[in-house]
Amino acid sequence: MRLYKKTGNTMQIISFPDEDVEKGGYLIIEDRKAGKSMIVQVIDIQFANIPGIMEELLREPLIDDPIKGEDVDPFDITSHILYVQDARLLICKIHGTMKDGKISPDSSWLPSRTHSVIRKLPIKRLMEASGMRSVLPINLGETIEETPIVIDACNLDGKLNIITGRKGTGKSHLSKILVLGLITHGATVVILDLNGEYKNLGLDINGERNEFSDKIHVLVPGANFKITLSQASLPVMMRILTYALDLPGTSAREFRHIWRFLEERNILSFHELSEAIRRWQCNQQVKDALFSRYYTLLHSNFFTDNPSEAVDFEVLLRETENSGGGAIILDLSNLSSIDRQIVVEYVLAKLQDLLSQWRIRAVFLFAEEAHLYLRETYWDDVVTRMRHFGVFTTFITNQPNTIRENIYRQADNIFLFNFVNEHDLEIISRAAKVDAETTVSIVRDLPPHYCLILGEVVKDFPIIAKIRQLNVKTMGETRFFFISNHAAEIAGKQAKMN
Amino acid sequence: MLLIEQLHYATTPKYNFPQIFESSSFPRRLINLSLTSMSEIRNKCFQPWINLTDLPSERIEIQGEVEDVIEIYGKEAFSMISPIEPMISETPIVAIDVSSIRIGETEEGAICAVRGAVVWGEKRVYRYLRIGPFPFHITEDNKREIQGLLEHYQPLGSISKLSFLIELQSRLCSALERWVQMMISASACNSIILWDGSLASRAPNNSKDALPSILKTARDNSNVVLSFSKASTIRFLGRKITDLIAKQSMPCLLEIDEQMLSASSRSMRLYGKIYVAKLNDKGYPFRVDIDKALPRDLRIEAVRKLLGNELMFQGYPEALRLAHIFSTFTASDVIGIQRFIAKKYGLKVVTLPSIRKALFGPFGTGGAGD
Repeated sequence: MRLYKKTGNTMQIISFPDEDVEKGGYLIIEDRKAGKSMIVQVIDIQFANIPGIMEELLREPLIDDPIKGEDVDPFDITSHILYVQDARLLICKIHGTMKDGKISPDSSWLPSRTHSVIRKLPIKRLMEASGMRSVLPINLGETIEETPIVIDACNLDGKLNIITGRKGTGKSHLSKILVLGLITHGATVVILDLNGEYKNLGLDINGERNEFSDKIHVLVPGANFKITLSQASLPVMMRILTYALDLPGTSAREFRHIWRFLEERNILSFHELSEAIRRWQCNQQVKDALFSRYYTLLHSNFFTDNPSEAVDFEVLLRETENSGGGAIILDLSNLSSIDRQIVVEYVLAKLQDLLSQWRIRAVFLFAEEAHLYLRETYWDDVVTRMRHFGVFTTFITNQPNTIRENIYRQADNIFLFNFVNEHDLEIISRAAKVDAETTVSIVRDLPPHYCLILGEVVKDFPIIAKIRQLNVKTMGETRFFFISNHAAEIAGKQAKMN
Repeated sequence: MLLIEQLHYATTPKYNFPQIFESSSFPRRLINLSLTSMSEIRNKCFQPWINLTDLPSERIEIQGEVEDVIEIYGKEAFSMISPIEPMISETPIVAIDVSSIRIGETEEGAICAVRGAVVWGEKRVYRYLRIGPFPFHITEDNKREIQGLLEHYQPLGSISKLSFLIELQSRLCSALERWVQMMISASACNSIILWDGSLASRAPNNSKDALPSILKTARDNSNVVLSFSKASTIRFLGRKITDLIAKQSMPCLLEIDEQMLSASSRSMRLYGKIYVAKLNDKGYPFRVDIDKALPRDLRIEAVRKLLGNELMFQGYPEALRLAHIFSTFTASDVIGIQRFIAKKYGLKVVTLPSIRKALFGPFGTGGAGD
């Protein structure tokens, strides 16, 4: 390999066909005279611009060309000519300088073209040199060099993460690996499971209970997850009414009075709430507004007056924390949009409430397609206030435009799977952890199950990882029409319903 | 006389290229000379020739080989044969071309490379054989050794000291060409053999000239040699002879009586009958020399067979065009050869300062304004 050109933080290197270089791999440019080396990452591989190549290609007959022939080339010079024609130009981004085994972000110097030696820098060695320690290891899979890639769970602690990529590229798979990794190290994870994909995390591929089964708690709102009004508390209820159900200010004020009235008399229940609204001396329009919200809450089946039916979310969280970590999966798959918002509003408000009072330590929140249930103001809360309370969010989406630009800019770790759409690529290129060119060039060519990891987990050295398989039942609840045992499946579903 | 295996065009489905390395000492000597000359430069400095965007498209002519301007006196010097009817006969067409290029400079001399190409066309299906490239290091010291090799194929006149590098490069190229021509003349039969250039020689009377011998070998094998010149120095009333039939719409031949050529032609030995040929209506006219030892009817018939059995691109035979393309060096060829010699002989690539550029900056004309 030979150093060719440097423009800004882009280095161009000429590489020959027998040099095995891959997109996403790292190179080290050793300038022994300067006593230091430059670390660069290959972000694109192009044909070298060889003069006369067009004439050469036009001259060379094709495999199935009628012009066939032979070369009498006793010196075997043709192999050198072909070698030159196949020369490649590596477009690389500078990622720092290595001096005496230590890496610094310095990219202000220029290695010598004539006496620099360029070699591959194994990712394993880069990870060691950059100080990637695995105090609490989470094994993600392997690098493009087939060496293990293990991140430290500490680098997810207190951080904002994004997992994004096209449908079917392996986003949920990675998020499950992260979830199981976190709970292995004793963390409490709350998952807003939009498609019911996580509920089988406690089962192995064969459907048998696995080592995580005791740590997985699946809550299905309206079924095994109901709450009483007193568990909800007035502030949480007010947030549900205001943000999820758009209750106007005047009506909200009347609702607060009604709640306090019932609370003072120790008769706070759904049944009494209905009676109180009916008897309450107020404007008829206010009364109508309150009734419409009351019936929405009632029909959500999320509320109950029977304390034995109710789940104390706080107790569940504390138990999970005290038992050495676990995942609370909120299965939102069969909820209407409004019900989903009610449940999420309750959960987030409850988390914030508990964390602010230091009743629980911290929670890792995994939110799939959060734009479908998070209200507008939460986005800013997530990156500002909630992080300080101890809610460390990981957003998972296949629509990168649904996540705000400021979230990309402030994300600490980003896991990018393949995108080919220019618009999507443009959005993800806003991530502050790496330059746009690197992101777009690498992400565009990622095969399924490969992801580009950016951020603190990889010490800001973008690394391509092949995500490992999991021995858990990870399939979502996608229903197919054209499957081989279609009839058997229908029969099975009908039997279940009966 | 060099013996070589005969080619069987019609029957064999396999390529039956001449066994050139077994039947003649020339290639062995050529390779040895290349090896010896190159081995002298081991671990020395080498300045690659870097003007790759401006590769020469025409061969370097040897001083003394270039034809002087020849005038034709009198209208009666011409006889027009028009139209020329194509004759379809499945006659194989064999075209030969060679080229050379300067690869770089050393402290003692220059490095050049030569390459030849033969293209066979039969029923308008083409096959090729590329010979080379052969790199040579030409210096004052090995000049005599190179001349020794070339003597048989490319008789040497006096070479000026200043231009010997360029002339030896050209003579190496011509020697390879003569050798390939000889091989093909000996191995092909009942074929039309196409050369680039003219069938003229300025060899001294006392020296051996390979050209008549090659033509005789070709004739002995029932071949006809036609040599196409892209540019001709023969003029009539100050105009190029090719202009005389430029407006003809039918394929035609203009035969020129060599008795009517000016005195300057007498210093040349003309082994070919000179024609101007326009082989299709929209093509260019070319000077074509046809072995003059052949009867006139056979010469005309050869042109008719060429028309009937060969594709014509702008009036130029396709096989000869391909031979030119296959032999010519492209910029990536030059880089590949430079890489080969730098790697094989451990040459240190240096860029010597250009005095012209140092003195004149952007106004250094590269010699154009000398």
